[in-house]
Amino acid sequence: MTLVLDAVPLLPQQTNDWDVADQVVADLRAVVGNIADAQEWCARGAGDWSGDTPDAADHAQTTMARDLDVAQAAVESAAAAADVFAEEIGRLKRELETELTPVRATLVEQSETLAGRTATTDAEVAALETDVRTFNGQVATFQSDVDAWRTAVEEAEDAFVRALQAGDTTTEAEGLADSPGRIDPDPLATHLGGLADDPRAARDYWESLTPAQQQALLTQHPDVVGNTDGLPAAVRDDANRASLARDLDYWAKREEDGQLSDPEKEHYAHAQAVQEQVEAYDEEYDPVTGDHLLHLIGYDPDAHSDDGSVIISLGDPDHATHVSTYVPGTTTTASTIGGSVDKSYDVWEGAQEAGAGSVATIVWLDYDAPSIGGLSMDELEDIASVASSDAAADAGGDLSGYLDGLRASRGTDADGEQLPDAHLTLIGHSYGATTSAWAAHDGADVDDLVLLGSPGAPTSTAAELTDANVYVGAAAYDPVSLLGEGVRGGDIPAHHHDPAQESFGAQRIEVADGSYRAQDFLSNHSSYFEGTSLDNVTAIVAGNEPTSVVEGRDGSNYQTLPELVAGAGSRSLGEWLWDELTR
Amino acid sequence: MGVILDVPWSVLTAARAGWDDTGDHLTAATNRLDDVGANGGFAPVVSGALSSWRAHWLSYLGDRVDTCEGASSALAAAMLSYEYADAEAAEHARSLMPYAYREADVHASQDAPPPDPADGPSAWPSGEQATPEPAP
Repeated sequence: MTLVLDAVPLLPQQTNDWDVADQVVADLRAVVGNIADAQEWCARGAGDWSGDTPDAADHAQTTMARDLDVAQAAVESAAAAADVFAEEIGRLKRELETELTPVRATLVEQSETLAGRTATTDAEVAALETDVRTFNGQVATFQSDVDAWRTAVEEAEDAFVRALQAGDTTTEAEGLADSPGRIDPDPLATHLGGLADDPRAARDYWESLTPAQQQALLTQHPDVVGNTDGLPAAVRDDANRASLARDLDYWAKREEDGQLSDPEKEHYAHAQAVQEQVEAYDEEYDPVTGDHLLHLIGYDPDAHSDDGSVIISLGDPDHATHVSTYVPGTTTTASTIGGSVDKSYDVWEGAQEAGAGSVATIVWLDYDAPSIGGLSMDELEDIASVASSDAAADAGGDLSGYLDGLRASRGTDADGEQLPDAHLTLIGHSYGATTSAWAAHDGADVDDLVLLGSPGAPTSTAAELTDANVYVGAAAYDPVSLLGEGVRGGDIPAHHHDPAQESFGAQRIEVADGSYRAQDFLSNHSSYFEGTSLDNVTAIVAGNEPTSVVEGRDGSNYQTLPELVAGAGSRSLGEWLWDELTR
Repeated sequence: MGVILDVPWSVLTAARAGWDDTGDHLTAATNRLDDVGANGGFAPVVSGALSSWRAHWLSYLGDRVDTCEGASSALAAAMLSYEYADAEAAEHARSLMPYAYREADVHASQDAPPPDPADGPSAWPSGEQATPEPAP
């Protein structure tokens, strides 16, 4: 008898690129955003007209308002269909890569093994025959799976094409605009906006909406959806990317016409800086979800006295095992967010390599960080002053609310089961450390708190501050870290405490001392995301103990701020004199 | 002798700015729409449908951009002299104003002097977005 091994079918080709489909959705939402902004002015001018229809038709703003509503309905409909298409293409891509591809590889291997087998005895022939039949059955199942995959692709394509064709004439789009089923998302946005201070309620409300309502909200009110704590990070990312693209398009046109106002120039610079980050990480993917690594989970270019607000996550914080939030300090604005994202990436990479589970690292810049021009005594006094101000407490309250939202938006696993809470680390640097300490004092629900180069904390002990594990990085020659009250005095009295003090009770992680030269103070203050310090931070983020700790500051083991300023200043002066004399 | 449209200067300037801004938003929208799915990445059946859809709406929005730019230019010209060549031109400008001014009076220019240029660009209290006043 002749045994025939069935050929293993080839894998199907992916004819639709998920990245492109995803970009189409974002682009169409941005288009809707600008049409909606245009339509809003026209509709306002159309006002409460009471004339007859021909009279209204002669009125240009009324006519334009209607025309743009029709166009908006067409693009909204296309965006919704593109979103469904992109979702399905993404699912099929994952199925092809994680299911069909490995199955085929196994079948090819089995086929080669069976083809090389010889059978001489009846028993061997019978066994081979059985194995071949089993194999051929597996090939048939695989062929059926491949066919089903192809069918699913065709169905997704058909649905998208039908949706586009249903709105590719003005008459059809008028029907979409006037459809009783068209959702008015304005009341939904008002309700969601009212839940801004209650992330869990915001999440519950979002989940109570139909997919069509969610889609309408996301497309027409991306500013609300993108900045509401408690909503899924992936949804906020979609919304904020749409807002960002809409803003960039509009301001680019205004710039071309030489019409940008001064605030608009600043907002445009913020948006461009955020876009740079989006593009820089465009080719990086989350190893867990397969989605883009970078999630833009907060974007408001005119917030905080035009400094802008940006929250960027590397990794999906709703699904990662370990999640950290990094709060940068003074001088950071939306336009300079790139440096903070780079630091965040270093932490993400280090923690990911620790192999203790998936990681998401977030940069949170949603507060008004005080601006300083350097680290002179005047500037240091300014930092000390704002560190104990109501503004610092308010920023801490906002941060605490955001962290509540992070807990609230926790996702589900592949089976729909709620994931356990993430291991959450809050990292603050400089004034961001003070803000983080205030957030902890406000009851922020974090597991670990890391304060780097902190100008001070609102309590004299870690136990009074929070139930979380508290770690402190304080370089010996970082003057900012000596602003808080310590056992040896010399601080700038402003009712805040040095968390690096032994009496504070935090674990002091090892960091480089820095250079003992006054002109290097700023560099010393900015070096916490390098070397040993970075290793310690990434270990903590990955849920491990820090790699090396040192003693806290006590009565004899550190220089006070005046001693450091005088000593390092003298050395700098001495070096300068020596250079001059030996020149 | 020209024709005057009896609307406050601030309404005229706000309307011009509004049409200009609307045109900017629509240009921004068409610039992005022009690129939507235009660089491949889809099966031919999807690309074809997307291309047809995009072409229609690019043309549709492009026409509205022209309308906005035309309206903005017409009002900008009116702002220079504050008078119109004839009643038809004044009525056209009136149709570009907020609906509350749909019955604003059109009359010969000797009835009311134009704003004094010495008073600056606006003879009325200025504001980026004027509050519509009741139609006369």
